Amino acid sequence: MCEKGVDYNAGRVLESALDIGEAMLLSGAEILRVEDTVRRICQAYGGGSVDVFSILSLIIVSWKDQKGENTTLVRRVYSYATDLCRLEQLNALSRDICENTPECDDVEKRVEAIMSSPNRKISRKRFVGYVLTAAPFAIFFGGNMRDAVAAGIVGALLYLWDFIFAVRSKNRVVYIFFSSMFASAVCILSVIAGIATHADKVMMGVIMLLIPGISLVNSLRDMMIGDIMTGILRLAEALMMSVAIAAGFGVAIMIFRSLWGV
Amino acid sequence: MILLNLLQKDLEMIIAAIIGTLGFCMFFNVKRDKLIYGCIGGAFSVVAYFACVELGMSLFAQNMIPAAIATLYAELMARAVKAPATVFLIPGVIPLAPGGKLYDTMRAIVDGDQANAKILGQETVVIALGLAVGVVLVSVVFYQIRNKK
Repeated sequence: MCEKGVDYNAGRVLESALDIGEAMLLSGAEILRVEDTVRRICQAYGGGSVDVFSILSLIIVSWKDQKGENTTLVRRVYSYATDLCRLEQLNALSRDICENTPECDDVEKRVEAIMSSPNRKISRKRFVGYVLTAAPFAIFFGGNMRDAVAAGIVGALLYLWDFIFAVRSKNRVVYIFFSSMFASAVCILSVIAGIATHADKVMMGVIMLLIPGISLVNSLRDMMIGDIMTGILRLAEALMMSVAIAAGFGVAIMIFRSLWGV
Repeated sequence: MILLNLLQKDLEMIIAAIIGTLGFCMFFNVKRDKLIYGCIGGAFSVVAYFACVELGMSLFAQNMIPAAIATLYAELMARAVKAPATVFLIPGVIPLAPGGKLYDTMRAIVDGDQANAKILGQETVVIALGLAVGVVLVSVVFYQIRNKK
């Protein structure tokens, strides 16, 4: 443990603060939380004044500590997703750092431990999550039991689809378009195969897995708290994704209609 | 009285939504010991939603009030359990997300039904707005309280 305010390397501290900030963005934290965390960590180690600016894809931080040393770092963030378990762990970690100011190597290891939790392994919890989201919402939107079963199956297939393709895709909008097309094609097939009775109810359940409701809510929250820039970025993304979802199943419906007339 | 009436009529839907919320928590990888809190948030918002529908409120209020309740719950839980409010907020508002309406809108567009597409599209936007306003109303208040300290 380094002694507070005396023994620290500003560059290293800033780096580990940015590691946490980046990890938070990757887990779907609000921008305000990211900026706040970076600021607090810097201040816990060396005090002074900290300027942080962050959008979804970039964190800029400039720190002038009590010794009068200026340090500036920029971190580009290339992708982000929502993983509330990681977010919670990171939040606890940053609280701990601010209280105990541990060595930077230690911080780095702990961030890595949180972020390296297996993404490339089939997770039973997430699989169940996909199925348990799609099936009940098919009923919620007015479908019957058979629709729910079909939605569950489509949810399971969508999990495999995400598992195979999600990591490789950089462009979320195009990815969502193809996911939505795939999902609706399977939904229509499930009706042709005689599992479900209403293709639209099955589809409504499955859409809940794709819909950017979180982006939308977060974007308006960001804007109301005063972070207009991030809010607009997120809003634009949410709108693009809604259009992509709609276009995806639109295309799927049209293909089936022209081929089979269903 | 209204609540009892409601529970009988929409019980199936409410249970479906609560299970769906549980699924959503798992989808977003909420920690195992917090799953139950997410479900309770979802239950609050879905019951409030059906109550508002029962009371014949406008489409905007139908979504704003449950969203506000879910946010209030999430912010209070965040303080009680010491976790980010997002962990409880996202599962809480997800049953309100306009997935059904979005689908109907697109369906109308694909079918070439311009008039319906317009109405449904507007309704989708109103639902999304109501949801966002509900969330924002409460979270802004909490944000102000937090920053005053």
